Order: sequence, then structure tokens, then C-alpha cells
Amino acid sequence: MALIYLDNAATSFPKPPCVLERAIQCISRDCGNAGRGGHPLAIASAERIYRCRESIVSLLGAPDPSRVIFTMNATYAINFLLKGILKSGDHVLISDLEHNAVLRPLEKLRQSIGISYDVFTTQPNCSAKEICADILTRRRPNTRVLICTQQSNICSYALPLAEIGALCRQCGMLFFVDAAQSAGHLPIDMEKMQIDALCAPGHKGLLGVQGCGFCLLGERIHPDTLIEGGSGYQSLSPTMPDEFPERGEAGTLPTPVITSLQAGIEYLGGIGQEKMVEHDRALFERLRDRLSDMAGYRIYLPEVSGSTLLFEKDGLPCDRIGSYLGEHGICVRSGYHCAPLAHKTLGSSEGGVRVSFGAFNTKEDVDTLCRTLRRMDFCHEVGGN
Amino acid sequence: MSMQNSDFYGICHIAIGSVNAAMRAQRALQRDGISASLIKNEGGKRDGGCLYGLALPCLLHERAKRILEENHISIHKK
Repeated sequence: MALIYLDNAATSFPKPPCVLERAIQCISRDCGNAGRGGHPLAIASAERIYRCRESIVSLLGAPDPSRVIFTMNATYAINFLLKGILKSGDHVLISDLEHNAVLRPLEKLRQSIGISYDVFTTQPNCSAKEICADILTRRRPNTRVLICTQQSNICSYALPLAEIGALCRQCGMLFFVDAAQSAGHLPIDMEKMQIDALCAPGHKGLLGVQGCGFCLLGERIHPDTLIEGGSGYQSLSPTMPDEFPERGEAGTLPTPVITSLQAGIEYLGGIGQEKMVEHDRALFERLRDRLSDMAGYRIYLPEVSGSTLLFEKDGLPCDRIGSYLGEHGICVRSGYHCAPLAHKTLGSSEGGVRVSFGAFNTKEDVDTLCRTLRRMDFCHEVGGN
Repeated sequence: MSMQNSDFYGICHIAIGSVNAAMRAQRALQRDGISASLIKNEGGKRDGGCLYGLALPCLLHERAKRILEENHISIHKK
């Protein structure tokens, strides 16, 4: 049975051959420990990692390779950022589309040190002006940070980052972005969008292998450490160095993983950002149009095309649909997708079935998915399997 | 003095700081056509522990120093 992978919002699959080749080359040829010695393998690894920092900066319009902090994933990067910046009494604004990667660290900080947070409305598909007006009504004198996703993980709605960034700068709020779903799919320019920090995984839209994410720091912030340990620098000091990236990178970095991420970014560069947007849009619209012609299917936000489509089917629990598709070799994700706020906002209170496209999906994948769903419908109607 | 002659072949060492800071310095010199190798500096306790820097022809020593200053890259003080 041929496998069709439509769960790229969880992790992209397959990876481009160059990603695997680069990781294997690193492991087999020169995988030392970067910044932990002066021998050739340590230097080669440091060079590989620094090149990846440069590629990330170039792709995302970040200010400085030295302010690329590698972490184990995007969730860790968000934790590092929020826990390293927020103090007791601070107030935070988040959107109504946030993932638990944002919500849970904030809730933990609310309980542990007494921060507070409020949710602003996207509802979704409000205009940028409406969103900014809502942010202003919820802003308090102690609002220090606004953090939001660029694109929801359950639909293709993307927040107007440039407008929100301008508003935050004007009001003296720090602006943080969770780019877990958008990096590699949508254009991002940290400096133009006035983003103070941005977190992303390496293994989703950027096509690296699982095992690293990163936090990009703007010039205005200097987070405290989340964990402490060896940094390969100032070893005689009992405290972490004050300078980045070492301050945020205690312990050994996964050089093969970071090397693979750089290959993924290079691969994306070969495709081009505009082509990726068009690729996602074409697949979304093909699926939307076919599902619209099938009885009993509801698509959430059908008018907003992009890499992610959420649907449900009358009378069938979403997990049953997900299981059926899985049994027939089609990988989608059903349920709540770690995003209760977003499901509440979309009105998908019972969860949904998420189809998320990646660089290697084709229109034939969409057609096979729809044929399989039709077969499922038929079996359901006649009471079979 | 932040630079020192390290051997009689005319190679000078510039002590910078972390491995990433040293690579940033290396890139700044590269942009000006100076090729420098990343090294781990000898120094131990005097430098607070581990320290990285660059090795380059001594002929280019003064020019390299100027370039790093222009790029706001700190040279480690011995």
C-alpha cells in the first residue's frame, strides 16, 4: 500500500534527499562537538552550525547569526523566550488561535510567578484594522509582550504580522511570533515586521529532520537562561556567558540535525517562497472544491487557502475518519491538535480532521484522499467497514 | 595588546571569545578578502577558560584589527 502523507503540520515527510545526505555526511565524516575544542572535527562542526545560523537569518530577515538560539524544538524555544523575559506582574496578550506551546507556558507562569494574560480576537478572518483595534482595547499599562502565531496549526488563516508589529512598537510592547506552521510556507521578515523574537521548528516547513528548533532574538531583548551548563566558553565561570548564542545554548548541539536543517533551507531556496505559497494554495483549493461537492462535509474557513485544511463530516467522529484514512495508507491528524483555543475560535468544538500539505504533495494525493473518503462514506451508509 | 605573534612562520593569533564570536569575526575579515583560520586559543586560566580566535598572516595583522573594530567585534584583552 502506497503511503500518502498529509500531516506536514506535525512534521514534514518525506525529507528532500539532500537533507538526509547532509546529515549522513556529517555523522560519517566530521561530526565533532562544536565549540568544545580546537581540533578539526570540532571546528568543522562549528562551521556547519554557523552556516545554518546564517541561512536562517537570511531566510527570515533576522538581524544577526549570533542571535539564533538553537533549541530542541519550537516549544522549547517559546518556553526559553517567555520564561526568560516575563517577570511577576507582567501582562501578556495572545491571539485566539494559539497552540498549547504558547498557552501552557503562560498558564504556568500565571500560576508560578503571577503574570496575567488576555486573548485578543481574530475570530478569525477579521481585518488587520479590527484585530489591532481589539488589541488596543485589551492592552493594559503593564502589557509587556504580545505573542501570536503567524499561521494557525488547524487552518490556513495567517495573522497580519506587519500591522501587529507596528502597533506593538508604537505602544512599547515586545512582539513575539510563533512561526511553527509558517516558517517555510509563508514569507517572514523579522526586521520589516518589527518582530522582537521568533520561534520555529526545524522539522516542519523548513524540511530538516526532527531534533532542533530555534529562537531568533531581536536587538531589544536579552532573555535569562532556561537551563545552564557547558557552553564551551568562559569555562572557569560558575555562571553562563552573557552573550548569545552561548547564553541560550547549554549543552551539546545536535550538529547532524542542524546540518540537515541548513540543507532543507537551501532546498526551499531552490523552490522559491512564491512557488511554495502557490503550491499550497492550489492543493488547498483542489481539496476544498472536491469536499464541497461531497454530502455532509463541513470545511472550516474554506475561503482562506494555504497549507492547512480542517474538515468534519456529519455523523462521524473525527478520530474515526482519521483511523479509517490511516488504515488505507493516508496520514492525516484528527482531534484537537493541541489547540483548544483555536478550535473554540473556529467553532470546531468536537475537534476535526486536519489535512496539511508539504513540498512533496501532489494533486493526485488530494484526489486519492477524496476517493478514499467517498469509499468511507459508502461503507458508513451501508453499515460496513 | 590583543594580538600576539605565535610562531616564526609569521602567523598571528587574534583572541576573540566564543566560537560563534570568532566565526563572526572570520566572516567580517572574509568580506574584506582576508582568509583567517578558526583556532582555539591557548591561555587557560588567564582567559577565564576556553577561548576561540583566528590565525592569519602577521602581514595582515593591523588591517584585520581595523576591520574588526569597524565591525564592532571585540578583541579579547589579555
